[in-house]
Amino acid sequence: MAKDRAVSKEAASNTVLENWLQGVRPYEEVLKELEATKTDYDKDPEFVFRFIRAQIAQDVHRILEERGIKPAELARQMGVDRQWVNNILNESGNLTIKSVARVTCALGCAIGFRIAESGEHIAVLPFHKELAQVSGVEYTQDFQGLEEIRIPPPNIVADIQSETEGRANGELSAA
Amino acid sequence: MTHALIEFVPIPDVKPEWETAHEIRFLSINGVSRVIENLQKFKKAWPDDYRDLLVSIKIVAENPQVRGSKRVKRCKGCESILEMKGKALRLFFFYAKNGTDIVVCTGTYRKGKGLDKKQQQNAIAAAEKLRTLCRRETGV
Repeated sequence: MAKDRAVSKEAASNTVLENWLQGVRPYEEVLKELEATKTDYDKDPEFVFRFIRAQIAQDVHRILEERGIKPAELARQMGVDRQWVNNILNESGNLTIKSVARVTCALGCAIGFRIAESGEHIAVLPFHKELAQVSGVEYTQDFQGLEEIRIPPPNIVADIQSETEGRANGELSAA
Repeated sequence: MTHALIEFVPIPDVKPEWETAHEIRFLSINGVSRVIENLQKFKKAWPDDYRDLLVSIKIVAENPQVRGSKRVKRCKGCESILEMKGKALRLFFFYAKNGTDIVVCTGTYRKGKGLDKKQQQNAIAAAEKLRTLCRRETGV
């Protein structure tokens, strides 16, 4: 009986796979077509807006969860109705910079809005002086023990690293 | 299907620099994949919804854990399979480890009129079976 069950399970599994594979082209063919219509969504304002709104919702969710605060409690603290907080958490309603500032301050958190060159990554990380020294990036002291590190595009990082390694090996530039 | 060739392949519209927490891969078996085939159809037919689905993908790629149910939800009756959400589009996936943390996309679904619960449940069941196959064949 158990063997029969195992066989019928296997058969069902095979049917699922056969259906999944049926009438589908090799993926490399599909990828070629997708590559031809590849879109840089980070350059699409609507995508960027939706992503920022979603990431803010994620951050607020995370902080509330870590602190064990319910959305209703936050709403009470802020003197707004619960729907206002839910709109941020559910990515609905009109999200303004002012409402982001309000919720950030109510949580006693910090937020950074920066506009960077395409390919330049900005990361606000906990203080890692060693990392900054090793990779040769510039760093500036920021608020509440956080460190803002401006990371140049990858090729520049590679140049800096090879230069740093060269120095460590005793190779000095002409200058 | 005892010796399936399983591959985890990057999705062209997902930029590698997004993948700071998870690498996003679609499942291919024996060189074909229903996931990428459907994603291409979605992009053509529902570009706005596809863009919204990509927002969810980017959130998963950049966050170690996704909270709330707006972007990611566990599938009912199948805890190991999750879905990334667009407006009506859904992308089924599971978390795995393959050297790094990866997300393996196993199926798609589009909610809409004329599509019943049964079809959705079948899509979830298929995603779960594909996960089992992946585990068995690759150990991820």
